[in-house]
Amino acid sequence: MTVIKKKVCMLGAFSVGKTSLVRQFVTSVFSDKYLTTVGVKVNKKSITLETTDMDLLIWDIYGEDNLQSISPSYLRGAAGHLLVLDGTRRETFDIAVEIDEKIERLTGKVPIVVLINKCDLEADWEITSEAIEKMEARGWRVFCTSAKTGQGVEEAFKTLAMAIY
Amino acid sequence: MTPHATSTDPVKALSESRADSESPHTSDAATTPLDGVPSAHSLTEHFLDRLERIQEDAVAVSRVLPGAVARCVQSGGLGEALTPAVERALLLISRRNPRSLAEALTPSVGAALRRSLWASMFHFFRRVNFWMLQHVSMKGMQWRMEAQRSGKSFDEVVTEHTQDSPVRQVFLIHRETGLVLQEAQSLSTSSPQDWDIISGMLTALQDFIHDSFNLNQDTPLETIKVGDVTVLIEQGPYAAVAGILDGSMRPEYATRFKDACSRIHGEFSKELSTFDGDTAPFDTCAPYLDSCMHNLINPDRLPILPQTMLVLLLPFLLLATWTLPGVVDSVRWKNYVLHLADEPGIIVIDHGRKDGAHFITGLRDPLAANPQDLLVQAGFTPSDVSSHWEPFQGLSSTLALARARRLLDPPDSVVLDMRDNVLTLEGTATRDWIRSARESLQRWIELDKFNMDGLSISNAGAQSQWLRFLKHIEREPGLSVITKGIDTDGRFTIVGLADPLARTPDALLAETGLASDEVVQQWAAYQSPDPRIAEKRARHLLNPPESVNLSVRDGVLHLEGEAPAPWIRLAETLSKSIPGVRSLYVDHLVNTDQRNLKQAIGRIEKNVFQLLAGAPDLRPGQADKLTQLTKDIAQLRRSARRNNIDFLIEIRGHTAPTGATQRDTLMAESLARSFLELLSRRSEDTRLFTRRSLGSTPPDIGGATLDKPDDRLVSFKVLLLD
Repeated sequence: MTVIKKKVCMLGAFSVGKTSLVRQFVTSVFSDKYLTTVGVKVNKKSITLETTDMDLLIWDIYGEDNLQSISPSYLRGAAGHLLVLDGTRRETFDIAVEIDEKIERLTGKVPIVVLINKCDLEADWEITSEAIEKMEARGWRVFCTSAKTGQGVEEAFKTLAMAIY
Repeated sequence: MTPHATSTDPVKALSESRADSESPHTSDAATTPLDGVPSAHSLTEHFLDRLERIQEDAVAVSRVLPGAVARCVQSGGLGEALTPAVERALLLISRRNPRSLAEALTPSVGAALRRSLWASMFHFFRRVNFWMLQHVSMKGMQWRMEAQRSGKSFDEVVTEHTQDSPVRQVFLIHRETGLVLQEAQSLSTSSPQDWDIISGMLTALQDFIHDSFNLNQDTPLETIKVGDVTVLIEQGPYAAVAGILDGSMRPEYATRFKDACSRIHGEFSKELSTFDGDTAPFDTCAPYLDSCMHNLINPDRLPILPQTMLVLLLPFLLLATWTLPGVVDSVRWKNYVLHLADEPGIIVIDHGRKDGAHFITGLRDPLAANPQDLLVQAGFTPSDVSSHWEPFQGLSSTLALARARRLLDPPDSVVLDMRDNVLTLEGTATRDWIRSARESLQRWIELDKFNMDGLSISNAGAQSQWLRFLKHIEREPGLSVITKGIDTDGRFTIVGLADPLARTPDALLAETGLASDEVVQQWAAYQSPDPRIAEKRARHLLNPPESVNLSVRDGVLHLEGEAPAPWIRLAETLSKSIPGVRSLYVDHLVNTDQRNLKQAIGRIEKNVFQLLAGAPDLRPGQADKLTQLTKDIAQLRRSARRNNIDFLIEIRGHTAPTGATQRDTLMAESLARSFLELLSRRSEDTRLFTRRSLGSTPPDIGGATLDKPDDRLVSFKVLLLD
């Protein structure tokens, strides 16, 4: 079985749970300190598709609410993006929209899968179904995920892998 | 031809259009419906329309051209399409203006050439050293014995001892994505790491460094060194060959990595440029990566042999041994010739080598240094050098001085020197020697080429008196020395200028006690500008009265005190021609005649006489007053004459008011006339007087009034005439 390798970037506002998702579900050899020093940490997620295996090299890019800090160099060559939101913080949707516009300016249109994280905290949920419809209208594939329970994570990764395959 | 198929060059398009229009069958727009012949109007419209469309097309194309090129670059094919044009352009530039091409390439190629040259020299040295190590060293002998013992070939043993490969792993990394396309590792290396992740982080790190230091993305990050591990990265356009090395990086590995990277890009350029995640096409590039790990000679295991240094330096030593004696001889000869050139009285005309020996020819003053002695000092044997010197008389100051010494044979008390090409003699000598020296020098050289003024006769008493005489003359105003010295008879001579008002030189000479026949004097009369003499001259010329103090200071003649007007006028005239006097200062000089004039006027104008009413006579008791008035008038006349001034005395009549102004005027006029008659009777010159009626206006003198009805007064006013 052949192995395909793809670079994808994981982006999102500060403290939406990107690193937790990575820590739980992908292979990581580097310390999280690289996120705050170099601004990025590369991880790997191997996914088996129907006829092929795919290694996703996930560039976990340090999330700041100030979008200027995202280095364009880190986005170069990415086949797709994982855009992570915090379901309990409405403003993370707005930041995600801005990130999407920025990466489209920098790298062109590539597949994007949105992970609305912390879906296990229903009581504090702020993302409405209308907002989700808006996301889908932008062409995003939207998944409600939980780094805590693992809900929706594998599907999200697999969906992105299929989109960029 | 369609309008859009025309050239973008408007001029060319216009000519094409003209060509089209000249053919009546090719353009409907330029053809009339009646006879098929284009009219001038329709042709003009057609041209204008074509020209306008060409310009619009050019603008439109320029707007889309950058985007179109960018799209072509993305989709590929533009490079291939442009290659022939670019090649041809480069060829044209290299033929027409190769300098500009060279200037563009020099910054990058020049440094590379220097590096390459240095690397080649270093490589040659290493090869020589390696060969020497194998064949001319104890270590080489040990390796041969080891080969015999072990049964291995000599080359195998040498390889074991000198070569290694510190390259642990090599990766081919896609530059844009940071993904590992292919990897190779040495057999001894176990690989627990996930190199995809490490490669990604390595790429991120490069991006981080480029972003942090604002480096261009094309600026390669060549090595990363941490402790004993070195990461060597060779960047290509699409991919990088990166290797993990144990220990320090050596230039040979960089060369290998560069070579591997170039070959991979040459063979896999299409796969690299279109990489979409499938690494299978790069499996066949593994041999290139393996080549990066082949053994290399480790310089740390190759000591630099002294024999190698000797072999490399031997040609230089031989060359030096062969050329050094010649160089030393040449330098010595050059120094000898330079030394001769500096020597006074020696002129080198020619020198060089002839039949393997030095020769030198020139001119030499008999008083100059001996060239043969200098030859020995320079380290030559006189017999080895052919020298030919013609005698001549040198003109240098040193030689002239030597010649003068020989000629004059001066006593120790005389010092000879050359100053500005003039022979000077100073000191003391006998009168006979001075006379003899002067005669010799006059025969030998021109008069202005020697100076004996500094010589004095060795008679101490006369010399002392002479010096005192010179000092007196120097102090005395009005005497100026032009030359002084000693004549051919050894007598003192002095020539100068003397003002007749100064003390005579003979008087001064007498004071010194020096006999007058010991001194020959020549004095010409002149008028000295010295202030002391100028003052004497002024006093002599002006003969000032005792009341005048006369002095000359800074060229200004000061006259102070008092003097009569005629003398002052004389002084003002004569002072202009006194040598040493530039101007006259008389602000503190009082003119006595002018003072007397003013005093007389004051006394006259103070008088008021009372006349009898109805009779032309004075009231009684004023006779003395009248007498004094006539004396004052006489004084006034004298003073006015000495001051060259004319005057009139106005007799003014005043009468007590009668009530009728006209009558008052007539009465006052009558009073003035009566008083003038009185003066006339006393023999006064009536031409000096004039009359004036002031009617009933009282005199402007303190106390004089016209209060009483019979008051009849006369007063006086002196009128000075220009």
